[in-house]
Amino acid sequence: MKSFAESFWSKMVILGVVVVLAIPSFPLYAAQKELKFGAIFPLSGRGATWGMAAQKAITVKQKEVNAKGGLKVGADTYKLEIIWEDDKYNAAAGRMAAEKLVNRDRVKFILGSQSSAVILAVQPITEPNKILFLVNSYAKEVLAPDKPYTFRMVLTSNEILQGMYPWMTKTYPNLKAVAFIEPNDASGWSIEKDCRRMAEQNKYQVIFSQFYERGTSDFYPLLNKMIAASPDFVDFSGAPPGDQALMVKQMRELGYKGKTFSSTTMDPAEFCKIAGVQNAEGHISNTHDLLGAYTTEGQKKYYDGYIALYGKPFDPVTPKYQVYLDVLIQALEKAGTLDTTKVMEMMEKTEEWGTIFGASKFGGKEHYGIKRQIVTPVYISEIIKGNLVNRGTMMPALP
Amino acid sequence: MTFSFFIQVLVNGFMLGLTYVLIASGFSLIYGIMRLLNFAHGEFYMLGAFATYLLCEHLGVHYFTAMALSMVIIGVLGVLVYHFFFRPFRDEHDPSLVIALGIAMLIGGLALIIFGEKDKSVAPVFSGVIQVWGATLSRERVAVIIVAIVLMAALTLYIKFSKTGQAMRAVSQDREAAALQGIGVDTTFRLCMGISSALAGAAGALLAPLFYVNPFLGMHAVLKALVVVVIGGLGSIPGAIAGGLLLGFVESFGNTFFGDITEILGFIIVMIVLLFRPQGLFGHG
Repeated sequence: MKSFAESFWSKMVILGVVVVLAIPSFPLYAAQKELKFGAIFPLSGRGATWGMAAQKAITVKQKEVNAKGGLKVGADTYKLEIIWEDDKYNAAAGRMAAEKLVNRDRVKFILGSQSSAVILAVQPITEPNKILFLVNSYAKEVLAPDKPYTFRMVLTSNEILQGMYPWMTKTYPNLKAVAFIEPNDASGWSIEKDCRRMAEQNKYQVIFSQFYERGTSDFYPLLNKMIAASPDFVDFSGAPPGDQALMVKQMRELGYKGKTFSSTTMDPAEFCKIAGVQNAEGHISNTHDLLGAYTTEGQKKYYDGYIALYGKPFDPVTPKYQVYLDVLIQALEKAGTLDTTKVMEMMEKTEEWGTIFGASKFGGKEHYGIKRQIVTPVYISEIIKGNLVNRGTMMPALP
Repeated sequence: MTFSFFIQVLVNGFMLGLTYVLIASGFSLIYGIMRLLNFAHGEFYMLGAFATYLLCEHLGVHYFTAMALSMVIIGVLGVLVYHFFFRPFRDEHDPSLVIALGIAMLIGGLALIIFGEKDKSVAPVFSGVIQVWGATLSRERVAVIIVAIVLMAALTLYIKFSKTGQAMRAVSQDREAAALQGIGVDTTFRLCMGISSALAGAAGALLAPLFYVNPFLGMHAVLKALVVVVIGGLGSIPGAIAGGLLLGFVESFGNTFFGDITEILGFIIVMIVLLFRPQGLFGHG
C-alpha cells in the first residue's frame, strides 16, 4: 500500500500537469468572446439542395475565420458561432425561426433564406429590429427602399441573364426562338418574367412558356407540347438542377435537337448522370468550374477549404454562398462595431469588396430602388463530353 | 393536331398512369384490408428507389436482381413497421393515421441525413427509343410498362385465386367473421403490409432508372396515390388501376390543351367523383 506522502505527491504531480496544460489555452479563451449569427435555410424539403449547399459554403468560411483566431471587430476578437435553423422552404417555419433567433438567441445578423416567401415573411421581424438580413432568392420585392437592412448576396436571374442572353446572341446567332419551362410558384413566375424580358430585349421570339408543379418527374406530356412548338433553345432557369437534367434526358428521348440553357448553377457530374452524357452535350449554364481558366486565389483557397472539410467530390453549386459570410466579415472588420446600422451604412458606401469571384460591389438603386444587390461576375459554361468548359465571364451592369 | 402527336399524348398518358397505378395499388391494398391510410407508403416507394440505387451503383448488383432484392427489403421493412408501430393501434383509426404520418416524416428525415439532399440516378438498363405509330417511347419506359402490367396482373390473380388472397378478402369484408372461420387476422395484416410495401419497393426500383432518386420522392408520390384511390375507390385494386390510368390520361391531355392548370384537373375529377359516387368508381358503398 502506498504511503500518504507518496499518494499526496503523485496527486500533486497530476494536478501540476493539468494546470500547466491548461495555462496556455486559458488566457486565449478567456479573452475571446463569441459572436452569434443566425442562419435560416431550407435544410429539409425540396429546397434542401440549396440550403445544404449554403450551409457547407458558410461553414467553410466560419472554420477559416475561427482557425485564424477569430474575427476582430474594434478592440475585441470573436469566435464565430452560427445558429442554424431549418425553414423547410416554408414561410411559416421561416418566420418562427426568425422569431426564435431575434427574441431568444438575440442575434443581430441573419443569413438566409433561399425562398422569397420565407424572406418576405421574415422581413417584418428583421427590419423593425434593425437586424442585418443577408438573403438569396430571386423575387424583386425582396429589395425595396423601405427595407434598408436587407442585402441580397447572390445574383438573381435579372443580373445573370443580362450577361447570358447577350452572350447567347453573340455565340449562337442562328437561334431565334426560345421556350420557357419553370416551376409553378412565386419563384418560377418571377424568373419567367425576367427571362421573357431579357429574351425580348435580345430579339428572341418567345414561342412557348409553361409552368410545372414541383415534384413532377415525368415531363413527357409537357415536353411533347413544347417540342411541337419547335423552339431553337429551351430556358429552364427556375427549375432545380435535378429537374433540368431529367427534362434534358426526356426531351432528347422525344427527339428534341435544340440547345438547352439555364441561368442557374449545377453539378456537372450529377447532371450528366441523370441526363446522360450524350444528352447533356452543349448544355449552357451559369456554373463556374473553380479549377478552370478563371480561377482566382480566393477560389483556390475556398476549393482547398471545402475539400479539407467535406472531401471530394467538390460541389460547384456551393461557391456562390461563400460570399454571404465573406462580405459580412469584411463589413464588420471595416465598421469596427457590431452596431447593425453602422455596418449597414458601411456595406452601402463601400465601392468594392474582395470576394472569391474577384472585385464585387452592391448596386441596384435604379432597378430595385435601393443599392442592396451584390454584383459579382457572371460565368458561362457548357458541358462538353461530360465536362464543364468555361466559355466566358462578364460583369452585369446594374445601375 | 396530327395523328402521331395524338398517339404521343395517348402513350404519355398511359405511361404516366401506370406510374400512378404502381404507387397507388399498394396504398389501396392496405386501406382495403387494414382500413389504414398509410401515408408512409410514399416513403417505402422512395426507399425502394434508394435500395435499388445502392445495390446497383455501389454494390454492382444486376438491375433485375436489385429490383427483386429491393422488393424483399422493403417488404420486410413494411412488416416490421406494422409489427412495432401499427399493430398496437390496430383498431384505432385516428392514432394509426398520426402514426403513419409520423413514420413518413421519420423515414423522410432519416433518408435526408443518410443519403443527403442530392439527386442520384440509377444507370439505365435499356437504351434507345422505339416508334409506335409515330409516337416515341424510350425502351426503358417500354420495360416499365411490361413489368408494371405483369405485377398488376399477378397481384389481381393472387388476391382473387390464392388461399391467402381469399383470406385477405375475407378479412376486408368482415374481420370478426373471418377470425371465427379460423383466419389469422394479424397474420393477414402482416402479409398485406409486406405485399403492399414490396409493391412500393418495386415501383421505386422500376422508376429509379427512369427518373432520379432523392429523399423527397415520397410525399409527392403519396399525394398522387391518394388522388388515384379516391377516384378509383378506397381499397379497390381495379379501382387503383382505373383511377391511375384516368389521372394519367387527364394529365397528359390536360398538359396539351390546358397547360399550367393541369394539376388542378386531378382534384376536379376527385370532386366530381365524390359528388356523384362518393365510394369511388370501383368502391363499395
